[in-house]
Amino acid sequence: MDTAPVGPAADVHVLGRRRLYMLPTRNGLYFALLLLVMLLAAVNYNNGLAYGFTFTLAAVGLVSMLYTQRNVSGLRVTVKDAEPVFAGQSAQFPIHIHNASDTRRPGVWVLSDTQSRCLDFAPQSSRPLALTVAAERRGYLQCPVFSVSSTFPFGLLYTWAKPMRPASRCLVYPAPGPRLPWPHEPAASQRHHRGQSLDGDDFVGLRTYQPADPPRHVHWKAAARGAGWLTKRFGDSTGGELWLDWAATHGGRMDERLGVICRWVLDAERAGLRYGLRLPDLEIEPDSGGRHLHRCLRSLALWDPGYE
Amino acid sequence: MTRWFRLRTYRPPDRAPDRHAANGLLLSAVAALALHIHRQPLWLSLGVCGMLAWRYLVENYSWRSPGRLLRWGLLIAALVAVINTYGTLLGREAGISLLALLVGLKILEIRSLRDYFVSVFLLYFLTLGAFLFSQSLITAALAMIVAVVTTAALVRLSLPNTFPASEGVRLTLAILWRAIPIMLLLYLLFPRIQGSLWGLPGDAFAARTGLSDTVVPGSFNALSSDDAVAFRVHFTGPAPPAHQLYWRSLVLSHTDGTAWSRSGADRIAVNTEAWRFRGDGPPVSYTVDYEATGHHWLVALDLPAMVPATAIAHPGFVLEAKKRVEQRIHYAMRSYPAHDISELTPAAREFHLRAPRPASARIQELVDEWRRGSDPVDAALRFFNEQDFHYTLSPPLLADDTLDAFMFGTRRGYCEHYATAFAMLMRHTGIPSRLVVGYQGGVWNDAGDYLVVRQTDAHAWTEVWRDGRGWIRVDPTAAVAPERIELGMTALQALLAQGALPGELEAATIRALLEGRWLARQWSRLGMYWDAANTAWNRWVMAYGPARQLRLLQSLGFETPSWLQVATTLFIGIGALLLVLAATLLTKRDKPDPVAASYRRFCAKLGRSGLARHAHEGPMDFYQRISAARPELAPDCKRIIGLYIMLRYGGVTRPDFVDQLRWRVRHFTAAGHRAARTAPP
Amino acid sequence: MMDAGLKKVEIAHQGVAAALEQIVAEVERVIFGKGETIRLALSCLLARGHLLIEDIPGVGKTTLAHALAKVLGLQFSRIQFTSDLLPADILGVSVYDTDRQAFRFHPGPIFASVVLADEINRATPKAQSALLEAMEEHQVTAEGETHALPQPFFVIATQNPRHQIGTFPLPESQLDRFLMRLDIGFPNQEAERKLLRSSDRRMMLEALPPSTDAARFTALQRSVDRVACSDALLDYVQALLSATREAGWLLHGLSPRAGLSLVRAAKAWALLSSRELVLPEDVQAVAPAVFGHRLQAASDDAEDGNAMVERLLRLVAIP
Repeated sequence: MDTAPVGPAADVHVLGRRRLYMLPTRNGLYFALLLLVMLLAAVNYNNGLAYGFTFTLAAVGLVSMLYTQRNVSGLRVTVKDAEPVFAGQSAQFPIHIHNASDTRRPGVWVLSDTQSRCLDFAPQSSRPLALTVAAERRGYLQCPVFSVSSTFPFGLLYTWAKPMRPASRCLVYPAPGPRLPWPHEPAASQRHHRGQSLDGDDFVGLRTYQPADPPRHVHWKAAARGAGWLTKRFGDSTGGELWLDWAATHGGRMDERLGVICRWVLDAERAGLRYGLRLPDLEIEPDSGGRHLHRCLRSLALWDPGYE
Repeated sequence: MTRWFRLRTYRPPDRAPDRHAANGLLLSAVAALALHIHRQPLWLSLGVCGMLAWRYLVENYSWRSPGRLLRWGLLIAALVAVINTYGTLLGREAGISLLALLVGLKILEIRSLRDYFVSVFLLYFLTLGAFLFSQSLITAALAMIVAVVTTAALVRLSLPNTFPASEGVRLTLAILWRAIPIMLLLYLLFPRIQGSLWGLPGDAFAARTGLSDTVVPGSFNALSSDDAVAFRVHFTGPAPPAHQLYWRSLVLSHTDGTAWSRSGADRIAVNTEAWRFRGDGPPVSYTVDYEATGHHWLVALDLPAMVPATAIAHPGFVLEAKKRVEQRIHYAMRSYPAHDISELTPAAREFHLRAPRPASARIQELVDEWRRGSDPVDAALRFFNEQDFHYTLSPPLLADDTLDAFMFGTRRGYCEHYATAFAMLMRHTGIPSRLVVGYQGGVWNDAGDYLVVRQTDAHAWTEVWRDGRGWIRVDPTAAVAPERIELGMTALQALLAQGALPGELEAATIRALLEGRWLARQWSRLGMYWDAANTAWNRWVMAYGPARQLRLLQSLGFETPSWLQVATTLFIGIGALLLVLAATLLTKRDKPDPVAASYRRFCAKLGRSGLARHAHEGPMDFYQRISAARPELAPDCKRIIGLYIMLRYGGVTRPDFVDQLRWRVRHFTAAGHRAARTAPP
Repeated sequence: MMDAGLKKVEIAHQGVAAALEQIVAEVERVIFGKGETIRLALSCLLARGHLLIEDIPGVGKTTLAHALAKVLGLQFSRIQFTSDLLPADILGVSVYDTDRQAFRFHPGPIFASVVLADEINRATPKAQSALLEAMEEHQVTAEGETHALPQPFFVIATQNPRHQIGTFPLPESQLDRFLMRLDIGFPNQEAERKLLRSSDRRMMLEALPPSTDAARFTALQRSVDRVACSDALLDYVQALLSATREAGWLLHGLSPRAGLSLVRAAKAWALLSSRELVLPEDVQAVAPAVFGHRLQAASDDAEDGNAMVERLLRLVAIP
């Protein structure tokens, strides 16, 4: 057995001593001022115990520096890719922090520009948490910069790790657009032909109203909204074959058109149809299932037509 | 440095502490107040406790916080009350009262995290305030407890409430323990300066007890009930017997007929050349730890033969400190059992015979009779001894002509009464006399091997001038109650408390009266140990000042230490200590598992001969690979790996197996076999 | 004493080892060249776990299940899962008995010691979850009455791995209920030749003599519990678990339950290897079967579960 190549690099950061910085907090500065005043009092009254007390507090403050550093030092921070989301949702980057030491580490903060979380680590324990970021645009979303920080034990000093810029990212699918009729009726598939009809248990999508459709299948809410006459289609969980074509989305901005296709893809998958994707320079053969769905959505998320 | 400026800082946000943190703060506030409670007026303690209780109810029972108007009202009321009590807002006592009230008010108005921290800092300062009143060992211990509780409260301010209070205390103690070396370094090396930075408030050293330089019969009454320590004495040789322990402080030779005070001449410092004495025995060397009095005068055993560096000489073998004794001081002395033979000029002789109040007829008759005898001093002492004079600490009040009233009326009193009466009688007889004030006796502390002299041991006696002999000490109290001198004041008080009449007791009776019960003896022994601990604390901890620091630095090799040198040493020392601490705190210490360590060694040996174990390879797989690649090693490896498997995975805990594994690994050679194989037969 | 070495490691009571060896040997008389798979399947049952066999049709999934049941001397029943299978078809129904004027429960095919759930992914989720619930709870609740399943009780489920239309792949949470997932794979040349020469499998199965019975097999399961598992070994298991939680190429880490399953399976494997203590090698032997169906790749270009476990094992050092 030879040593295997390590897979896609996980973003692992070990918070070593060289990556940690420390400054006093505002309260720490007040504490320094207090020590100075106490020292003046000791000098003025030439009071041995007052000297001793002041120096004890000063020494405690100095030693607490080491405790502050120890509270963060040696933590292992692992960041992974976030699960794909649709634009407009929020991406959750899973962060995993592991305390391999035998000491408890209370009051460890994970800080980013938008988020702060306080964690308490038992000896030799791990805590998962998610760094939430609003996913606004389709494409890849980079994990935000964050740091780990702590004011343990007295709140007089704070230490923070060199900001981490993980390579982790999140695939953002286009935001699904409004529900529109299929570009064309799904072609009957050979294997599971059970008659394509409005009948069945599961809602599979909408199509333009045809005069013969039963009234109970009319999408009245849409009609009331003025979205035109649509008929709700119901069917069995296995259906026909469908080509979702860029050309079938009429006009509009690119993201809107992608949103429409995205909605079709989701509806088609839910309806159990076999569907294919046809973009100007990309074609995906009809199939179904989670993997295919992800492949289609990923293509939509990353599709770059090179114009517009 | 530029790195710092380019770096973004990430500071955890402030969080409002929860109820538990607030309760911790309240507890430490109560502890800090308790340090002061016996010195503060009752209204203050009650007031501050009331404010703390209110906060407690706010935190735990959702009471309403006081409004801004009420808080201002409370502040003004506090200021007024302090001024009303002390007449000022400044000074030591008023300042501490004000600080205590501010703590209460601050805690009452807490809103933000910063308010919590300010409260904690005020508490630290309040704790420091206790040292202005007492620097005893017990104060230090109590203050340390308060500091730990307060610091533990600080821990909880910035942590989630899942961190329990007990762990906060444990953490504080751990940090405190590790901080001790740095604290000692700072304490010893931080440059000390003599004197204060600015003028001290007038009451900084007020209201100390001790001797007064004016003696009126009855004025010692306050002292006789004050068992505070006046001074402690360590003798370098054997201690003198009890009847020689006359501790001289002041000589009073001026009298207005009732009160005795210092004459103008006594107040003028003299050269020690003016001191002449005739020794009656070998010298006694000793050191004195003299408690603060707020006065100048010191004590010395009769008669001092030298003047310490911090003191100056006065006529009559009196020592005065150059500065008022506002701190406990320490000085070395040498004395001779001797008497003063300084020259008595005719003017001085006349002065020491002055008696402003004429003697009454009865007194005149008495002194005339003594003057006719061979030795008036002896006659007078015999008179005190034989007539029914009694020693008592609660004498009746004296009428206008105190001497006559005492000699022929009450005949009840203590040292002052006898000493003043005797001195006055001598002057009427025509013998120059003066009053000496100081202490007599003391209690021996076996635990620390030193003498403790308390304010109760304050004493007054007389000295009379005999031509050709000089000033002779005469103690009329000894003639009335020899127990006062032989047994000491403490024993005498015990006797008096049991209703005995000093001066008329058999030795056996005294012993029976004094021995008391076993428990009482143990208690007094415990007291001795406690006093010994305190004395050591005072001598070695509290007395550390510029002089001792200089001596320490010189012993460390600094001939003439400069401020810069000391500061550099201090910084380097603290840095080194922090590095050592960091090494122990921040590096993980693994408990070495001997089994795993032996196996690692075994694998390393094989690795050097080209059979490295893969990190993910289990022992059996490794064995298979070894026996395939190097069959000649298989028997040895089988035993070693077998032992390893048993010990590490089989739950077998047998020390002899561990030893065997270690032995086998140590004697295992992978290369040796190869050499044997390639060697010619 | 100096030679105490490996001898002590060998199992003390030879009876257990011999019994297990005999079981393996009997099953191998029907299934050729698959000793490793048989041992894994047997250790799964010894560890009181349910088994999922995933492979294409015709490699002997059903035969393996049947042979195991036969050799172990356990009552066997088979449920063919189809899309119209109802929960009652598995669990049983309560029928009104006019004679006794009361409902009487007719137990379904699940009331057997070894239940072969054939092509489990063909049935609807409803039917699947009926089976899985019974697996988890070792009892069946019908009409408010609880009926305990026999002891021992195993489900050996088979499914076809190819993504097929009209199937309902078991969701992740349900996969977790199976202690192991095995694939059988094609036999090698020699074994296949032997197979082609042999007589009808059905006849051979009929002829298989039982080596144990329910009581004896339960006793064998109990001896699995006595296998020693040291702290050092648990360190290794924890290192594996935390590696899955930190590895970027995995979608998510493994649960503590997965770790528990691994330890139980490794204990059974150690017993099958005639040892009373678990070695890292035992963990490595069972890890692909135990972890394979529980891991998911983070990226699209997915290796299959077993390959990911192999990679994991190479990455994690034995502490």
